[in-house]
Amino acid sequence: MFYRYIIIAIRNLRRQRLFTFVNIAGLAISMAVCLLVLISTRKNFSYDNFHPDAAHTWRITSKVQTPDGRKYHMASTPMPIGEALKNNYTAIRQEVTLYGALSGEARINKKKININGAFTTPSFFNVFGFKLAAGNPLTALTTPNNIVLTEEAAKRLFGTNDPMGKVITFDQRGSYIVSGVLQPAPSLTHIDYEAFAAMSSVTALEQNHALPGRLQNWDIFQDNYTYVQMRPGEGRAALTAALNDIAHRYDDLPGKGMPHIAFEPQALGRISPSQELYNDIGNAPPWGKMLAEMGVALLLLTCAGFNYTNLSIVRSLQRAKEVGVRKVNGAQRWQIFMQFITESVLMCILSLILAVMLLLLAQSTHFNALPVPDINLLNGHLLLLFFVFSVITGIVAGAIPAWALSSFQPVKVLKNLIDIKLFGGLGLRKSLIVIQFTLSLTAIIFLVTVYRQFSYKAVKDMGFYRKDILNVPLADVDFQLMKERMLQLNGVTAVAASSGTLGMPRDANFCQMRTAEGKDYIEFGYYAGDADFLKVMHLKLLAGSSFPAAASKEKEQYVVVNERAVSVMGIKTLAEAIGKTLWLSDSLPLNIVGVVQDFNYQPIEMNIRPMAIRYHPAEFHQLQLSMAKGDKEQQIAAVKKIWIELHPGEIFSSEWMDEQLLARSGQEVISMLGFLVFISTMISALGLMGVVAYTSFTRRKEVSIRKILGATAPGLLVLLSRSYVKLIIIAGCIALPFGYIGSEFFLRIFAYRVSIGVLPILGSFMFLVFLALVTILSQTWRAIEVNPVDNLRND
Amino acid sequence: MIQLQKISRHYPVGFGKNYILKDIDLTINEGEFVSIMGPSGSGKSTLLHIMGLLEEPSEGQYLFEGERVDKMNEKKRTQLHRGSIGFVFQAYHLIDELTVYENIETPLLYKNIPASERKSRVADVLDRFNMVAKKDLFPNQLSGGQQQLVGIARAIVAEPRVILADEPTGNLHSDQAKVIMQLFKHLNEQDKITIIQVTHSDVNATYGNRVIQIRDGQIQP
Repeated sequence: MFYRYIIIAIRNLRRQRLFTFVNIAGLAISMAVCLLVLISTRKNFSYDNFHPDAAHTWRITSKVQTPDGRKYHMASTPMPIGEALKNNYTAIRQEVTLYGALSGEARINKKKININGAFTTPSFFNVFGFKLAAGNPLTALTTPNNIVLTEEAAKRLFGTNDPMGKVITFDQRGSYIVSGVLQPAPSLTHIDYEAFAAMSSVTALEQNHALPGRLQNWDIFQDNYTYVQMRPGEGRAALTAALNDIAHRYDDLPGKGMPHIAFEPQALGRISPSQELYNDIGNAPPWGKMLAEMGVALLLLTCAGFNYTNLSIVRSLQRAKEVGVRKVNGAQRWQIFMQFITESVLMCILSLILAVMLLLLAQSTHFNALPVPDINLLNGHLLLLFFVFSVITGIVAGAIPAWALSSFQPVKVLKNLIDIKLFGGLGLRKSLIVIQFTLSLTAIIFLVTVYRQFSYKAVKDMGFYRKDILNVPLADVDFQLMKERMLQLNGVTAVAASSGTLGMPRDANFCQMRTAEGKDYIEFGYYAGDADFLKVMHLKLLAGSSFPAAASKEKEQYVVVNERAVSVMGIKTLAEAIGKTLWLSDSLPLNIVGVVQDFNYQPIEMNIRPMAIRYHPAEFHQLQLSMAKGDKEQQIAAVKKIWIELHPGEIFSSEWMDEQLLARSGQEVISMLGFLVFISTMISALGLMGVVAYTSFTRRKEVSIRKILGATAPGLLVLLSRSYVKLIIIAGCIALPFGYIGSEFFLRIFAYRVSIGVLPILGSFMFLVFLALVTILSQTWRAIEVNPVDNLRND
Repeated sequence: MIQLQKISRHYPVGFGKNYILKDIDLTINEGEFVSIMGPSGSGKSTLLHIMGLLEEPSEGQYLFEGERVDKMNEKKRTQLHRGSIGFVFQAYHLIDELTVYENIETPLLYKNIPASERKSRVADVLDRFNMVAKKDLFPNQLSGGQQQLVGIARAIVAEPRVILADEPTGNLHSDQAKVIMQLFKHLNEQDKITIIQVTHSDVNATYGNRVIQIRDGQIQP
C-alpha cells in the first residue's frame, strides 16, 4: 500500500513539472536555511552535557536592585559565599569557586602568550566532568601555585614538549608549576578558561596586593563564580532556602540607600544558551539571537509551505477524479488522507536532499551569504535530525490539502468537476499570497534601508585617514626604537604609536577628568598617541599644536582634546583652551596643548563625545605605519623582517587599517540579509506563478470561448491578471508601513544615519509589482496563446 | 437482495421541493440482470447511485440483503462497497497515473488483501479478459473498449455480489458495446453476479432479463 502511494506520488511529480519545480525549489532553499539554524541550535543546546551530576549542580547568581530601581542579574557572586554555603548547610555537598583573575600574558622563557585563566578549588574535578590527560585530579589543584592547562593552551605554550612540571610566569600574578593537562571537553562548555590555578594561591597574592582583597569580601559581586552540588534528594528548594538565609546579611543595606541583594540558583543545564546575565562567562549565544534565527528560518519555511498548500489546493481539481474513483473502489477517507500526506512528505524529502546538496556546495565554495559551519554534514545523527525535520514539514504543509482532497464526495466529483467547491474558497489562497508578498516587501524595504545605511557608513568620512596605513603590534618593544627602525624603510612615510585604531568599537578607552577640584567630572573617550599621531591620522588641529617632541615618556603631562570637549568644559574659544589643565583622577595634571576638529573616533552608531589624545607611552600597543603607494606584499615583508629582528621567536601579525574597519562595517550582514530577502521574494514569486498558471489553466475554456467571441489579447490579459495585481497592491498597502517602521527602528541605532526617503520605499514596491507582473503575465500569456479549438474539443 | 421502499430524492427549490425520484418501490433478487431505462433527466443515474450507496435517499428505506443501509454512516457504507458492490462507469474512470495492473489491483489494496493473493487474483482477471499483454500500459494508451474492459475487471476483481453499471457502453461503438454486454451476460450467468445497468439502448436491454422504465422520477408499470 505504502509502496503504491510512493509510486503514484512519483508519477504525479513527474507529470506536474511546474508544480514540482515550484515546490521543491522553494522548499529546498528555505530548508537549507532551516538546516543551518538547526545545526546551530543543536550546537547551542549541546553545552555542558558531560558533568557527572548536572541535575544536582547549580550556579549561584546575584540579583542586585539599586535604590533607583535598576535591576542587575549577575552570573557572579561574592567570593566567600561558596565556603559559607558548604560549611553551614548540610544539604550542600560541595562547592566550586571560579575566580577569573588569572588573565594576561603568560611567559615561558622568552615566549609570551595571552592566557585567559581562573583560580579554582580542588572540588572542580568532582563537580564538573573535566578529565585530566596528565596529572592527578586529587592533588592537581591543592598546592598553591599549581596550574592545570587545557590541552590547547598547553600546545600553544609548550608546543610538542611535555608541559608537566614546567613553570609559567604571569605578570604580577606570579609563577605557576603545571600540575595537569585537561583532556579536551567532550562537548562545548560555558567554562571556557584556558588555565585553572589552585585557589590556595590567592591568599598570598592578596597579601602582596597583587590581587585586590576578595577572599573575605562580601560586597564585591563581579569577580567570582560559585557552583554548588547538592546532596542526593536535595534540590532547588533547599538551596533557595540556604541562599535566602545567607542574603539576610544584606538586610540593612536598603535602609542606608544601598542596593537590595538576593541570590538565586541557576541550574547547570540552563546556563547555555545564555540568559544574558551580567558578567556571564562562556561564548554561548543568547536566547534572543537564537530565537531570531529560528524565527527567520521558520518564516522562510512557512512561505515555501504556503506555496505547497496553495498549489495543492488549486491542483486538487486535477486530482478530484482520482479521489472519487478511489473512494468508489472502497478507499476510506483516512487512506486518501494518508496518500496525500505521503506525497507531501516525499516532496519534502526530495527538497531535503536538494537542500543538503546546496549546503555541501556552499560549504565547498565558501559562499559568503550562506555561512555553513565547517562540520561534516553527512553524519548519521545530523541526517536523522534533518530527516525527522523534513517529515514534520511535509506533514504540516500537506495536512490542509490532504484534508480538503480526502473530503471529496465521489458522486459529485465524478459527475461534474466544475461544481466542486475548493477548500476555503478563493479567500484562503488569496490571503496566503497576500501574506507572502507582504513579508517579501517588508523585507525588501528593510534591506534597502540597511544597505543604504551600511554603504553610507562605509563611505562616510569619519574625519580621519585610513588608507595605506599598516597597524603593527608593539609587543613590549620600545616604541621609539621600533619607530626609528621602521622609518628607515623605503615605503614608510610616517609612523605613529597609538593605543588602538580609531573607529574600532572597542579600541576607545575612557577616563574621568575635571578642570578643577569641585567641578563635575567629564567622561572622556581617549586614545593614547604620540606626537605623530595627529599627522598620520590626518586630524585637523584647530588651535595649539601636537605634543612637544621632548615630552617625557615616564611622566604623563600633555593632552590634546577635541572641540566637543572644549565646549563641555565651558571654555568659549578654542584658543583659550590651550594651556588649561585637566586633572586626571585628581592627582595628575595634564596640560592641553592642542584642540582638534571633531571626528568620529567611535563607530557612527555613537555621537561625538568629549575626547582626548593622551601622550602616555605605557598604553601604546601598536605602531601605525603610513605607507607610500607600492606593492603591499613587499612592504609587509619588509616590515615583518624588522619586526622579527626586534621580537625573536614571536609571531608577526599586521593589518591594514581600512580593511580592519571595513570588516567591522557589517558587510557580511548585508550579504546574508540580501540572500534571505532574495530567497523569500523568489519563493513568493514562484508561488504566485504556480497559482496563476493553474487558475489560468482551469479558466482555459472560458478564455477560448471569449476568444471565439472576439476578445482581444490585451483584454484577456487584463481579465486574467486583474485579481492578482489587486492582491499585490493590497500586500503593498500592508507592507509599506511595516517596512517603514522596521527601517525607522533600525536607523535609530545610528547617531549618523541616512533618511528613509520616499523614493527607496516606492522603488522597492515598484520592483515587486514589476516582478509580480512579469510572473503573472508570463503565465496568463501562455493561457491565451493557445488555439481555442484545442481547448473546446477536449470537453 | 436489493429492496427499495418508498425511496424519494429531492432538493429544495425556493419554498418547495423538486423531486428527482418519487416513491420508488423496487425489489431486485440475487442473480438478476436488470436494465434501467428512461429519457435523460428521468432519475436513472440517481437511482443507481442510491443503490450503490453513493447518494443518500431523502425519504424511504433501503434494505441491502435484508439490512437497512440508508442511515448507515460513511465508514460502514465503505465497508459494504468493498465487499459487495462493484461500479462500472460510462467514462471508465480509470486512474490515469496507474497502469492497467495497478488500476485493477486498487480495490484489493483497500480490502487489505495480502500481496500474494492480490497478485494471483489480478493475474486471474487479466487472463480471463485477455489483457495480460497490456498490464503495464497506462489508460491513455488503450482504446475506449479496452479501457472499459479494465473498468469491468476492476469492478469484479474484489468478487462483488452486485455490479452497478452506469451506461457502460455509452462512449463505445456498437462492436465494442457488444463485447462488453456479452461479458456482462457471462458474468451474470456463470459467476451468478447480480447486474444492474442504466442504458439508453434497447439492444443492450435485451441482454438482461428484466427492464425497468423510469419517467419523471417514477417507475412506469
